[in-house]
Amino acid sequence: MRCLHVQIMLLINFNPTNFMTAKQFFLLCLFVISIQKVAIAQRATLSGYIEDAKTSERLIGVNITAKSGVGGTTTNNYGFFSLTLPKGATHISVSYLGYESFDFEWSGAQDTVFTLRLKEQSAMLSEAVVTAEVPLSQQSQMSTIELNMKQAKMVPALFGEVDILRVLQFLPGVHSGNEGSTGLYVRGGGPDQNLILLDGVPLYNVSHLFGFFSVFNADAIKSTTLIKGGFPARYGGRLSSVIDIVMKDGDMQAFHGEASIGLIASKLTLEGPIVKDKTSFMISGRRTYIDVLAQPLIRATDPTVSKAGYYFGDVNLKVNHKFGEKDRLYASYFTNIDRFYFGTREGTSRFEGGLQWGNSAGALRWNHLYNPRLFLNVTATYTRYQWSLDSKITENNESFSTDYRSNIEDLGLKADWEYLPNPNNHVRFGGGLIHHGFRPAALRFKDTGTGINNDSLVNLAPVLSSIEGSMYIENDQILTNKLRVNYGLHFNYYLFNKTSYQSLQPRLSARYLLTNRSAIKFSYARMQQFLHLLSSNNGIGLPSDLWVPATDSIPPMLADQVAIGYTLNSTDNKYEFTVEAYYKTMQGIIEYAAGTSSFINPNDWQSRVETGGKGWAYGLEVLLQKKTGKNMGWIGYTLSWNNRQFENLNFGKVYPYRFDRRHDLSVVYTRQISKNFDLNATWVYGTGIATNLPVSVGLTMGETPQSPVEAVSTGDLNSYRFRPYHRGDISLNWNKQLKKMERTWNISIYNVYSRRNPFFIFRDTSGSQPVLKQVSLFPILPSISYRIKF
Amino acid sequence: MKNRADFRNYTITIKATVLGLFAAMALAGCEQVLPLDVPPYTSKLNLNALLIAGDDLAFPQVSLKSDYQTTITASNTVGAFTADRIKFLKDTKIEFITDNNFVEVLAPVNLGLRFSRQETFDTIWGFLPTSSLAARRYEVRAMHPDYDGPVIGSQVLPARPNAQELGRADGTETRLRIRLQDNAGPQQYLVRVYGFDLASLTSESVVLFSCVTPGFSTLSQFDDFDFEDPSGLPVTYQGLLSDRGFDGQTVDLELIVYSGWTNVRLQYVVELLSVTANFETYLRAFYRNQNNEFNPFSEPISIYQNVTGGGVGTVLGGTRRTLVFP
Repeated sequence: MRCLHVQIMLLINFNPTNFMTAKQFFLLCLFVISIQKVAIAQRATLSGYIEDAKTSERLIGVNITAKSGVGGTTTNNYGFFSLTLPKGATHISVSYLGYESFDFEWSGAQDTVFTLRLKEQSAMLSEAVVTAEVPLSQQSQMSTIELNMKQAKMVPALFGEVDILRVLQFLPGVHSGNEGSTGLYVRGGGPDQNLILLDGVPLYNVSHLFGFFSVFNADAIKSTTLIKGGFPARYGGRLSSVIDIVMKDGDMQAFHGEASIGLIASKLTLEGPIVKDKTSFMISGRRTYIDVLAQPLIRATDPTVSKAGYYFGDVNLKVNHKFGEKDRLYASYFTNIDRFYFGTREGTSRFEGGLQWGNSAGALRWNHLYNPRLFLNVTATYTRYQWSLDSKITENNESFSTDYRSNIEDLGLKADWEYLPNPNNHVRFGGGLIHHGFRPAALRFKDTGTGINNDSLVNLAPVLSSIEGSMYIENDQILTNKLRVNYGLHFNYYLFNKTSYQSLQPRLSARYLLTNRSAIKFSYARMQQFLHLLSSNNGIGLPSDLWVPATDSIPPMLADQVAIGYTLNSTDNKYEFTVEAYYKTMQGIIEYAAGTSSFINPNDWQSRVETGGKGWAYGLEVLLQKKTGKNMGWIGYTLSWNNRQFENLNFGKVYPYRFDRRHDLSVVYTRQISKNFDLNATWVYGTGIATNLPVSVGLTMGETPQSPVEAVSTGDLNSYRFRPYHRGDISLNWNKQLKKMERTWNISIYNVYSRRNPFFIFRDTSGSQPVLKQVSLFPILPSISYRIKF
Repeated sequence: MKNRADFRNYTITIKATVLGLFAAMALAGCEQVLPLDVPPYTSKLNLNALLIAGDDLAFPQVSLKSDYQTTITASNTVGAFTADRIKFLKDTKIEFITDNNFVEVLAPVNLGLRFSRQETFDTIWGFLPTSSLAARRYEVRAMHPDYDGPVIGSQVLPARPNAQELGRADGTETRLRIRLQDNAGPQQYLVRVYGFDLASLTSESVVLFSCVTPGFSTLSQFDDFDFEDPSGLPVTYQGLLSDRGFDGQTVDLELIVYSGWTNVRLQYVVELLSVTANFETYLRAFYRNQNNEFNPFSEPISIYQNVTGGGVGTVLGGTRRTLVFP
């Protein structure tokens, strides 16, 4: 209790404006680690891993509770749990959504380590059989949503391509950007303010085809967690959200796979043991074939065109190996590519070129169990996002080729410990170091005519690098039967050239039980972000958007967010209702100076941005979910305001952010009609996004004043609204168990009633009188796909 | 340069193609006219003036003088969604006032001592005195019975740049060297280079160049596509030189000129225009406005304006020094 008193006193005396030194931070860590050690001798610990019985895939977020009511816990991202209880026999219950629950009697005489395998429920369940995860009302965390991957795969999708980022857009507090975009705008933040982790590796561009699809292949994904606020101290580096995506580990027991053929892409996923029960692998690939289908048409249209097309693809690969009960190693690799290419041939002249972009990311993770109460994960990460332009001109026997590149590259190392001294405390602490490398522009060229070759890249803009270090400590503590608190500190140190920034970011989430099924929650989090994304395309994910570091003249961004909420679970835990109100302030945000064009000159980007921007986002989110049974789904509603202010934009006046949406409503419904059929439907409605409307036309002197030119002026920034967005989608899955495989026909209809939603508006001056025109992208789009699982 | 030009063209092609892809997707969808619910727009008096003092922009060896120096226009503005046309307002009364309160009436009938009317665009143009130019304040007033006013814009012109030619060196490219004595206080110089073919006496144009001096930045409509010379310097046809690094000191400038002409020796004239601070703001805004006009995904930019009195428009100024490299 004395140590606890010290912790509380430290937190009370904490003043975020007076930053602690690193030494003080470490001392605080040590105090928290030493929580109530004296009591441990009277207790025994039940720990281990929970796995899928069929595949040995470790399960995340499994609920383990002692029936005596003395404690409970959930498995972490590696399927590990630890539950320390008073010595003596206890009834233990293990439950997980979509799996049969498992109850057993534990003697509680001594520490016990075991691996439990849960059986998946059959597809057709009676309504009465309900097994769910920990009710939200029991968790201290708020503003967090674990995506049910099975349900996510059933949600209707554009061209039938299941996309987890699109599913996240159906959740309250998450707005989509433009029509068709997978960009996520979480609680007023931009897409650059989302920390998107794939097996712990941050990805910098998650868009295929300018944002119409995300890079995540749902067949390779095990779990997806979205955190919108009340961020636990273990996360940092972005202002607005954490999207933690974990790839499948690979089946330890048997070889199997999935394959699908759709209108625009095909996918194949294989997984199985390399050494049964010790080593497994998972590999998944996807590629579009629009270009293959379009080639003959393009050639027929213009015989000088030798090739032209566009495709995207991605590959997920994961291998994991058990060294014993205490050690396990995971190696993950992910790469994706988008390529737009064309070529011409006329006589002896040939031209070939392309625009290409993609990520390469890898992680090596080592889990180690020191003892039943202390778990370690060490992760080494590498991630690179690069876009490039290549060209080759051939004339007779001479050729000239160029290769222009721009990239960001990170190398990181981090260690995370979890310490569970007793049922009332779950301590996490750790730290990490990331080296960011920025190569804004580099060129390689070769000219056989002149003999000028430059095989190594020549940097056309300075290569920049920065170092970001972090340490954190957090504790999820049950203070009383009703009050549970997750509190912690996240410390960041950032170095760019000789400029350094440091910040101590307090985090707090608290839950107070009103009844056994309802609770009120509160959270506060300060977040800092050291990287900026320069994008002037208003939500179109052009690959040339440039990631840049905070510098001496462009400080990092900072956000403070408070949220308060109420959660209610129905008595049978079928229904869950949450309502949350949040208020977020952002400082140090940057925008391109007004009018800077889409392609960025990397040489003087610092002179082209408006710095010191402020942002305010606040609103109310309501989510009603039915999580189990034949009929499932949710209704999400968001009422929000989202404003920005820059000294040099809009005459210094506050203006609405482009993706300020007053109302946003999503309805997701899935219905298991029979053993073989399921029907799914979604409907979304959103206030039109803010944009600029031309107001007047006048003359300006231009470059040569004796010939003035017409120029269009707009009113206040983002003072005009697109028409409201709404759309309905449906899909039908027809599953059938064949002899050696299960097959599924999927029929999807995107935009069922063919609503003309705005993609952009423009002033058309082609007629006698200028008119405002709206361009829409997708009318009704039916699609079909065929999937087998073997 | 051939290779770089190819690459530049290719880059522009890629941009056009990417935007074309969007356009194709847009066409695959639908385009429809939206009913507008905007308040009626009230037309305003639009006054624009560029006041240039100092040297004429002249090519002395061929006795050729550029035909513009100071220009003033008065017009109206129209609503963005009306069928109205912009008109030059010939009956606008325009007064030109110097800091000694000497008032010249330039329009509608009296054009003063040094001004005349250019018919095509109905622009008033003329020349300011070339001597005693330091810190002289000029004000332009426009009044029209149908519009709010008077619309007033003014500029305090900076001193004429104190610079001299150090010579030229011809090789693979031509290097022009200039010595500049900067005055104390923040100052910006707009730099342009003109080339003239003495043999044909026909081709006078701005030429591409790069500048070695720190503090120089490019300024052009398509500066995102500006390219670098082999040493990494951006190549442009105009730029701004800030004196932040050499305030009040003497500095030697070196301009590397890429005329694109081969086997022809050009006469070069370097225009060094000491400009007011809002000149840069205006030019950058203007280029971005023009560059983004047809890009619905870029934030729009309104033209920088600095007139008062209920109208719109911009009054800017600068003082020129021309340096001749025969």
